[in-house]
Amino acid sequence: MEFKISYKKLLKALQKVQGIIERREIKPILSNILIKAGENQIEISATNLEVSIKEFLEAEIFEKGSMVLDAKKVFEIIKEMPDKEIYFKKKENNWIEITTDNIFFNIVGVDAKEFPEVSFLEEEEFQEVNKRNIKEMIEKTIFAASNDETRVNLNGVFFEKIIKAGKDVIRMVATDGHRLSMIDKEIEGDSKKGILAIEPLQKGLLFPKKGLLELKKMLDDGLDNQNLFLLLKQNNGIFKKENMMLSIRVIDEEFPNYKQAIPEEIKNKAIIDRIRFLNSLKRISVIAEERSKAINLFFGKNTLEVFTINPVFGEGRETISIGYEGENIRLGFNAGYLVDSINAIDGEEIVIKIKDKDSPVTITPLNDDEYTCVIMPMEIKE
Amino acid sequence: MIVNFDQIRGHRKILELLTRVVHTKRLAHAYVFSGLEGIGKRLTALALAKNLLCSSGGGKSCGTCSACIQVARGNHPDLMMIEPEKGVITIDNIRNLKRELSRKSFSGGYKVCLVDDADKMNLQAENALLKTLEEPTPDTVIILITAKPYRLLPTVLSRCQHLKFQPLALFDASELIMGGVAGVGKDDALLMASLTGGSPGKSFTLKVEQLKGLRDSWINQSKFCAQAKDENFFVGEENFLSDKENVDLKLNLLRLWYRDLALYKIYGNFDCVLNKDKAEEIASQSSALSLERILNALLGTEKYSATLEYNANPQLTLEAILMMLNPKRDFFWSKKI
Repeated sequence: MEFKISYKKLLKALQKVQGIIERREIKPILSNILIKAGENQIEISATNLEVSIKEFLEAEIFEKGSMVLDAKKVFEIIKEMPDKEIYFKKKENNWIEITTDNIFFNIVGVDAKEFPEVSFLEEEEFQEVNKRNIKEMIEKTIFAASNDETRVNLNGVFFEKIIKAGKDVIRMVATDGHRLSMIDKEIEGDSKKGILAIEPLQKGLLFPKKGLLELKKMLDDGLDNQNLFLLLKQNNGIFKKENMMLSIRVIDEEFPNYKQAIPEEIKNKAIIDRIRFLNSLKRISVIAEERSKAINLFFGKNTLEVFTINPVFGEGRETISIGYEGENIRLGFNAGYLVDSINAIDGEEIVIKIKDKDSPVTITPLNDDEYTCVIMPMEIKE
Repeated sequence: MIVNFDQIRGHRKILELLTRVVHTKRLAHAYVFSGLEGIGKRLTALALAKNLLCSSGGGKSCGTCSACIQVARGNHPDLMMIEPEKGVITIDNIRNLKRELSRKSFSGGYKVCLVDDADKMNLQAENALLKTLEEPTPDTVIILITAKPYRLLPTVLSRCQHLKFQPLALFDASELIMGGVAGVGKDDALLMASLTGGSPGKSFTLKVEQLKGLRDSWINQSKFCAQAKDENFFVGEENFLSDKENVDLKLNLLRLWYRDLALYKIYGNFDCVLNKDKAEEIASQSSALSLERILNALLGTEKYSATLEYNANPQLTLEAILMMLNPKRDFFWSKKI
């Protein structure tokens, strides 16, 4: 294989794929990248088996083919080269020649067949979806996923198709056992082709947090109205935009029955100004106990008192006026959880629904039933 | 190098069973491959992995697709291999394995996991593996390879299908040895095969010259003992006894020697004898000893070599055997074993 490519494009792509590659890998092949030359573009692939990434770059191709070479070395070589066209050529026994100007490198490569490439069949169709919605949904759920590696089934965001008010929507939900974050949205793009008919989505797919963070990075890059195509399969999800493709392996564990955790029909309802509440939480939690970030919320008639008592630092107290007609109730919370979920809401006002001091509360935007956050209160000592 | 089932010597029944389960896709979720070291357990496990992971489908690996090449180079994303590090498999190794298994297969097919020298797992590691063995993720095959299945917890063993690999037939083993070690003749290969109990893998580590040197010192020794002039029981060099290396090998050599003496004594010919190059010596020694003495020596050697498994001191064991062989020390000969 043989091709020529501009320095800047190549360097940028190589830099992007470096992030995926893990240094301490058991499988030596994973420290390499695969470069494939097609009609008039090249593909650069890297993988850590959980997340696989592929960059598409324009290049002048003289001969098609593929090569595998050490990711770090090739990046360092290219980085130090002058800003000119760079010429790649694969020779016998996987030797790879990299040249530009008067610079010449002859690098040891690996047999391209050894590289674990994410594959999909010709007939498998990508579905066009709304990029902005997917991005929003990930942002509003991912923070609730657990980082505890012993509970693998909570280490990700669960994608599922549900029927809501007669409409097919996609639900994403994440939980770490203390709080839960859930969002429902229609995500079909212009094509209106049946993403919702995708078989694995009926049962639900659990995507790992690490992979979704990479996806978020990919979605952050570029314009919001760009198209995103996805192919969801039993074992992985492939996300594609015009110059990049990302594949995330699905977690093979049962996501807990989260519906049990969402309380229904609650009479105590508080309507709170979102920014006012958020600022208050941030202020008061400064002196809250470091690890648990425990604060108290006291709901009285049309008032909310936010306060914390820390035996080391003292106490802080703030009263906000809210809309509340229910019974007086005092709850303990991790302020961090409250801030995370209130941050995830866009509207001006939020609704907190409370059953009693031992039951989970729900936080939702006012007049919007797409997003729900459920938080377990903490036990408070009298 | 990884071969296909049909290139593996011996183990016909096991290979038939595996071929059948691969074909009908009725694999057990976990197997224990047990049997002597160096007879092809790992080779069989890798061949099984290759068959399962080959992208051509159909249950038989093609050897040319990228999946097959990845398996052969240890780079296949759905093949996990665990080996002892510094002689032990720790709970961290098992946790890594569980993390790998917690994801769906990379290529959409099977996930195969090989634990080599599984008996080297420590207690915590074995216990950590229990849950995975009991509730494996779908399309997962875990293969525990071990020469010492009795060292595994009964709770682990009972969760796996146990396939017992028998030692190779001497003929098969000797042919493999001739193919694997350059310049080994047929007789030498047979000798090596029988010394290692039909394990080509172990034979590959032996050197013919060293082997013959050790054997010759035993022959001298047994000659000396057979004559039994006095209560001295040892001729030869001091380090023959104190050298802790190769004690197993030494005992096996001695066992084979007395086996040959006994066979010659019974049949009067050299057809079944393994030390064919020492025919004269066999004839002279076996005529000097009674069959009972020969058999007793054989059984005695057997008994003492079993104690080594339980950490008996190698030098003391060798000395005890030598004393046993000397008829002047009749505390032994008066007793039957």
